[in-house]
Parts: sequence; structure tokens; C-alpha cells
Amino acid sequence: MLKIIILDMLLEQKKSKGKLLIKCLAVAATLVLGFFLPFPYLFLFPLLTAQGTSLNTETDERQLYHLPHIQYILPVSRERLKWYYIIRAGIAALFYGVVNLFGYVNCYIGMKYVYNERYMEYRNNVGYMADAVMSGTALLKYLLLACIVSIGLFLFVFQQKICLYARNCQVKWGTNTPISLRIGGFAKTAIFLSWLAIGLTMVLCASYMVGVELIPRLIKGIAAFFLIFLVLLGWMLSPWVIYKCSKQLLVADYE
Amino acid sequence: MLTCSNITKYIGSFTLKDVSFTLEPGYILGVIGRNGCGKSTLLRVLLGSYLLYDPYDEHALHTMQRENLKRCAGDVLLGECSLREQETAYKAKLAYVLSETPFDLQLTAMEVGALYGRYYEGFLMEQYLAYLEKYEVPKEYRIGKLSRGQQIRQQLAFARSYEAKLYLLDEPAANLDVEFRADFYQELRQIMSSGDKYMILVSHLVEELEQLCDYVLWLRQGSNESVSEQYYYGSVEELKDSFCLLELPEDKVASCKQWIVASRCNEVHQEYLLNIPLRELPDNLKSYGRQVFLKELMYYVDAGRYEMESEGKERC
Repeated sequence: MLKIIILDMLLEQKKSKGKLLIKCLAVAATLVLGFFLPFPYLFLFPLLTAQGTSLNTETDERQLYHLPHIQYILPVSRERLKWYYIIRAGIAALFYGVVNLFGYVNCYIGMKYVYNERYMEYRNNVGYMADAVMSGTALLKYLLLACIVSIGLFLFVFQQKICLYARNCQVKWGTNTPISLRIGGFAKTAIFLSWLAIGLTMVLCASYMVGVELIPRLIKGIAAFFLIFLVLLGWMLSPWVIYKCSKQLLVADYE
Repeated sequence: MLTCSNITKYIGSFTLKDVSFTLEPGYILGVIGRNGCGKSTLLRVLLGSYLLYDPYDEHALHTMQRENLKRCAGDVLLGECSLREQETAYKAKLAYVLSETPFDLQLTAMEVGALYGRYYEGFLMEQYLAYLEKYEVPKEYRIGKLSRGQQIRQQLAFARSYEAKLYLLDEPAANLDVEFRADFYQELRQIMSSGDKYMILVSHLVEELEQLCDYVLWLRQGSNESVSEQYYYGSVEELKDSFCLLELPEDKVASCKQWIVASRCNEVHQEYLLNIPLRELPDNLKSYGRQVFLKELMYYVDAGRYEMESEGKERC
């Protein structure tokens, strides 16, 4: 339903007061969902991707079937290993959360400018670029956006390097915990999808920045659909993630 | 003494069932069998990758069943140290060389020593670096960038840099050249020369395993392909000595018919497997016979031409 409302909102030319109200509600809902979406992931999703706290689940067995990893072989007690996983999951969660937070800030700013379309019409099709340049606040926002995107992209592209650096620090500092910050493939895919969504939002923003309709409305529709899809996917996955994690914690308790 | 008792492991629909053996220090045990018979699974159990449960602990089994988790039951005793009861102490006595390196591919060979060496009592970094140099492993290269042979040698260098009791090797020499394998086996013999260590080697290279190992553990799927069991455990020599191979002309076959248990015949070649030691053959047949190789015996059994059930069960 939300998807239909927002698609309608993005594609529709004529706007009435009623529709404007719906639009506002939809925007509010999207933003609320968008901002709260990272939280279930923040605490639970990385727990799963970091193999949770159990060492005897089928998932682990499948991984072991292909490659027995050093963590399972080292003479470390299961209790300590459990803490290792929790710490690793925490680091992954933090990392994933930070990246996602940047993503959602981007989405928020992007969406804001998408909905400024009507405002722009009052300007009698004056190039938004000129408007933005003249408006110091708008320029500041775009600079901020660019900074956030750059940092986010940096984190995303160099995540392996950062992890490696962290591990090397562990070697140099001589701590006893083997650190492997590698985020699970699933989490990476989610990050990639988030960034794809952010990229599409950026394209939308850019088209308004130059004041020209660079992209057809169909693509805008797809972009919006994609954002909504991500939100819904997150919420649909949450119960499953909670179930899996609670099961794993149960096993961990048993151990 | 290394004692492995009633190891049973379920993986999906596959079950490795009731593996038990005892190995004295100073001996090498080879684990053989067809693909998918559970050799590597057994090795992973010995590595301590799975939690072991007492097969007679009803509560543990019930909990695992309730949670629909796959069980691994049994125990491994390394000296007085039980894998089930003293997992950490047991693991501290292990050394391993695996076909797929367990070390982090992102770390350099030197970092592996610095990071993971600390977990093993008596690990000497200088010795590790010296071994890396001896085996020509570049210490500044990431593990992932090393060739397969170098990865194996790096693991061997790591394994030799502390005092381990049990060496576990999973297909270490597969797909590697002859020269490397010869050097590698020489290193293994050197490790075992002290006489107080145990070594378990999983390999498909049966000819080489036959040369290196004192004992052999043969795993095999029975009529039910999803269940693999211990088919034979005992001395390699004893197993080979129980049989002989004869290449006989047809007119001589009648004189040894009572011992023939399997044959492989075509127009130009007639080969018979006899369940009698070569030395006990009648003199007129000895010139046709020779000792059987392990791989030939495996061929007869795995091809379904011979079933040495009674002998296998007795030895187990």
C-alpha cells in the first residue's frame, strides 16, 4: 500500500490538498521506517552474519564442511570463543550501522529534494542549480551530502583494507583475541543494495541540482520502489533474524 | 596412547558411524576410503571442530534432538586428555596441515605466527621464521597469495614450531609434484623420529600412504550409501600379508581355487586375489604370485568384487 502511495506521489502530476496530506503521511512513514530499519539489523543481523554465538548449528557445519577455520581449531575455550563472536558481531554491527546510517541520511536528504519538485515549479522552471548556488543553505546541504557520501563510499570500498589494518594492529598490540572483522557475504550484499539505493537517490538529487529532467519518471519510480523494497525486506527479515539468533543463544546457553 | 572411541557424526543425510581405534605413540595412521566416505569429517572431529556428546547421556541427546541439531558423539583421548572433557588442553596438543589452509588468507605468513603462535605453549617465533626460510615460504606474502605448495609448507612450518603431540594431516600432498611430496614425507618421518608423537594422515594417494603409514583405517559406505563405517583397522603389513595376487595361466587355476576370493580377467590378463599369505602358497604357485598393494585391495573391495567382512570385523 505504501509502495503504491509513494509511487503515485512520485509519478503524479496534479496534486490536490488531500493528496498532499497523503504525501506527507507517506513521507513521514518512509522516513520513520527508514530511520528505524537499521536498528534490528544493528543488533541482530550481524549476530547472524558473524555466525552467532553457537558453534554447532547447521550453518556452521556447512561452513566447516568446506573449510575448517582457525577459530574452531585454536585451543580456546568455547566460552571465550563465544565472547569473541559477540565482540566480532558488535564490531560488525557498529560498522554496518554506521554505513547504514550514512545511507539513510542520504536517503532522507535525497527524498527531501525529490518532494521539492512542486516548490521548484513555482520558480517557473528556473534552473535549480542557479537557485542552489544562490541559496547558501542549499549549497551547504549538498556539501554535507557529498561529504557523507564520500565517507560512506570510502568505508564501503576500503572495508577490507580497514579490517586488515585493524587486524594488523591486533598483531602489533599483542592482544589475545584473534580478530576477524570480515562481514558476512549477506551483510555485504545488504550494504551493496543500500548503496545502490543511495546511488539512485543521488541521481535523483543530481537531476534537480542541474534543474533538468535528466532521468525519466520511470526510473524515478523504480528508484522509489527499490527503496521501499529494502524497507519491507528489512522488516520481513527481522522476525526470522530474531528467531535464528534466539535459537543460537539457546544453544549457546546449553553449551 | 591415542584412543578414539565410538565417533559418530551426522552431516545432513550422511552419517559417519562408530569409528574406534587405538594408536600407540610413534606410529602413523593413514585414513583411506572412497570420496565422501567421511575421512575429512573424521579429521575435523579429531581437530575438535565439533562439540562431542556422550552417546550414553540421554539428556544431551534429547536436547539436541529437541533443537533439531546434528549430533557428534564419542570421545578422543590423547594420553590422559579427553577431547570431550578437556577440549582446550586437547587442542593445545594438536598440530595440523590441511589441504585448505585454516589460517586467515588476509594475513601474511609472519603475522600468522605472531597472532596464532601465542595459543600454543612453547611456540618459538624464531624457529617458525627459520622453517619458513627453509621451506622457501615468503614471510611477507599474504597466505592467500601463496601457492598451494607454499601454503602447505607454511602450515608445516607452523606445526613444527611448537611441541605438538598429535599431527593431523588432510590431503597435504594432493596435486603437488613428486619432488615436493618426497621432501614432505621426509619431513613427516623426521617429526615422528622422536617416537612420542602420533600422526594421522588422510589421503587418496594410497601408494604413498602405504609407504609411510604403519596402520590404516579404512572407511567405507555399505549398502546404505549415506552411512559410512569403519571397514578395517590394523597394521598395513598385516592387511597386505593376508592376501596375495596371482597372474595365472588358466590350467593352474584349479590348484588354488580354494583361496581365490576375487578375479580380474580379460583376454590377455588373468589376475586372481587369494586370501592366503604369499609365503604360504604352494611352491609351484609362488613364481606366479606377488604381494598385493593396498590400492589393488581397495579396488577389489570398492568395485564390489570382494567383501572381506569377517576379517575386517575381527580386526576392528
